[in-house]
Amino acid sequence: MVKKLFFHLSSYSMFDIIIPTKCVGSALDKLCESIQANTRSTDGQLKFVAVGPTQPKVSWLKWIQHDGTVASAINKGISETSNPYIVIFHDDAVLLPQPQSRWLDQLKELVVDSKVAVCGPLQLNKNGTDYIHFFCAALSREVWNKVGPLSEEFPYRDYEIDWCKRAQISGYVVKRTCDVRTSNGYLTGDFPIFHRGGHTLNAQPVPMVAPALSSGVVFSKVPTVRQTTPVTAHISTRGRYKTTLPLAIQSISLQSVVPQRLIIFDDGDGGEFFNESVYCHLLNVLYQKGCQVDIVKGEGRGQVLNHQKAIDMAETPYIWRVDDDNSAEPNVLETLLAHISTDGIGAVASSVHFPWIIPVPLDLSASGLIGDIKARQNVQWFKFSGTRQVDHLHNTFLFRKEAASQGYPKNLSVVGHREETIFTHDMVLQGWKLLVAGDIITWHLRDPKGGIRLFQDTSLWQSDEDAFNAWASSHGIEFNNYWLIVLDNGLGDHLAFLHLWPEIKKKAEKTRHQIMLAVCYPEVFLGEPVISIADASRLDKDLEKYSVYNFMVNNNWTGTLVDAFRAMHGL
Amino acid sequence: MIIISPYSSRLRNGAVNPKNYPYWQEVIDKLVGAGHTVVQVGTAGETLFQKTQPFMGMSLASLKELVDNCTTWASVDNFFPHLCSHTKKSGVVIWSRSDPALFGYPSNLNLIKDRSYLRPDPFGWWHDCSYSIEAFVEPQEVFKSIMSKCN
Repeated sequence: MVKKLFFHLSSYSMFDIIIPTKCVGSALDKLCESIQANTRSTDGQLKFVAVGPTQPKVSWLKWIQHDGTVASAINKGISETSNPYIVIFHDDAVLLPQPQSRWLDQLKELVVDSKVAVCGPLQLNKNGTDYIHFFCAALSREVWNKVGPLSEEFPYRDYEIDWCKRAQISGYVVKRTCDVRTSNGYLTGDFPIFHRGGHTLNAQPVPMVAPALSSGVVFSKVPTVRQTTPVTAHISTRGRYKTTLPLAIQSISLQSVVPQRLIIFDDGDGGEFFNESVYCHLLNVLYQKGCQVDIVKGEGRGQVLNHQKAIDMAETPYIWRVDDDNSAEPNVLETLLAHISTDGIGAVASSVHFPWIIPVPLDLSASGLIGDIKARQNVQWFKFSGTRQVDHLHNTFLFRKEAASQGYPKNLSVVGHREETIFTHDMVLQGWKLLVAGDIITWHLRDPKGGIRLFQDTSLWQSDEDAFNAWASSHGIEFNNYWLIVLDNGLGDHLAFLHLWPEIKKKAEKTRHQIMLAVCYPEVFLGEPVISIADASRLDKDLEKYSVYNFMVNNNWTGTLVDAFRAMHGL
Repeated sequence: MIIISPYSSRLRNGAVNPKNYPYWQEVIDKLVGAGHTVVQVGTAGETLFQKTQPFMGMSLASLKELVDNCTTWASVDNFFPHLCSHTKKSGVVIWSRSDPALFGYPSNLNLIKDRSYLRPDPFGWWHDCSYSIEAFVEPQEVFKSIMSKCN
């Protein structure tokens, strides 16, 4: 029966949208835009009627001229329209981004019930009377005619309390659409809407502006059955709404294990983009998979603050940090979870590869040591199997909430340069281990637009680097400028390498690196400062990557041994 | 004076190194018969061949000096060709299952019987590689090659 009614409602013009408004100086146009943006174009059954003293700018609205109170304007609008169902909107309300027609479908579902007098997203109680707030309410004309119009004894407020009381005395019930949370005028949950309040037909004209979305959740899509994966994923985004952000969200939605919650921190002005169909599809997929999605309006103060908020908001033991230009392969989260379950592991990262660079096998240019961060490249950018223990992580990783008690650094600029280095190494300083799992890949699309690349002022990076240096100094971290070369091989290999020694020294001088040459046969390098292999392993526990034989194997080498050394050292 | 470096390093599992040439004595006999002095270099404890003058356990610097003063040299695939690559003296290298294109120097005469004997994993451990006497060239070919370097 209900389905049949739905069919009718979807097929014919059934609703009058009544908006009491003073038009000039109001946010009527914002309300109308938000209704259009969040309603299927096929829902053509809506007839919009503005009731107020001056003609609205929105040309497609029917205007009923009326100079009176809110209650009288609503009465006037309803009396001069005829559709079987009515939705009342105040002109200081705005629908927030949501799947197309979600708001309308919920109102329809309830209002067709002949026992329901009125329904809407906000149900309140005053002096024992349950009532639906009329800033957004749907009712049937049949019930309206039976209960009667609003009492004009309540010109600007409380008219709906009186009306709902009368309706309930007549045997009807009032119903809210779904569970919602309210904060500063925002209703979140399955009926996201903002209501400024107190400005509809206000006697004192107050310039209405489109409601700026303040910090806090502005959109929340909560599935009926939620995933139990103990992971909250989060993305901080800015300016990448039409480029890489959808790819990042999709990669989360396509994981073999889906997180139970995704928090998107919008640090730019992406509200309008979230209305677009691509986001509706993505959020619906996540919804189907039991992942709650929250969109939080950031404060525009940079990603670090949002990362910190994610920790504060997360209610799961693990937090997966994903950048808005990341795209994780489907096995990433599942593998990260498998590794982090080991005691003592504070965080685990995947490899981070770039689509336009073929990753090379681990070699001596890679290092996970904090002291090498300025001299060598991050291990995550290389190709390898198994896991490597490192001193710091980069870009994207899964971490234990309990390992993040120190939080993100608070003294960095809006670009947050080195933030993840400090954040993850602080875990190490607290006794946690960090791992990189080489067999799983997150693509870093490094979109040239958006994110921190929106900032052009290079002094921001420099000031962050200064802060990083100060942090390192305070923890006794010294940055290496050495070039570690390890000849953990035969005498012949040492002699083959010796051909390149003059070139190596020249390169080190040019790049201002101090060579640390670890050897098994010091007599090959008589007069040169060399160290033992044991000393080298104290500098870097992972000496395998220094092996010329590994280099030749990994590169299917067919040239000479001398040339292999040459290529390995970038000569 | 002709230097020979006949052995590659011992394997951890005690097996004969697949790079060790099986016909050194025949080659030495021919060289001595042709009037040459043959000096054997290597590490202490290695088996000495007959009719050679042993110079075992020498330092790299002394070995290099010796090479500078020899007529030519011959070796298996071991450290010696790498050492000689730092001198102006070229020699003869006897290969079997390792690849001269990877580990050799084109300035030497690299004697390889057939590339089909090369081990499939060119960078693997030698103790995983079997010894194959068929993989080596005949002593006459080695003798001729060394003699060609003496002219």
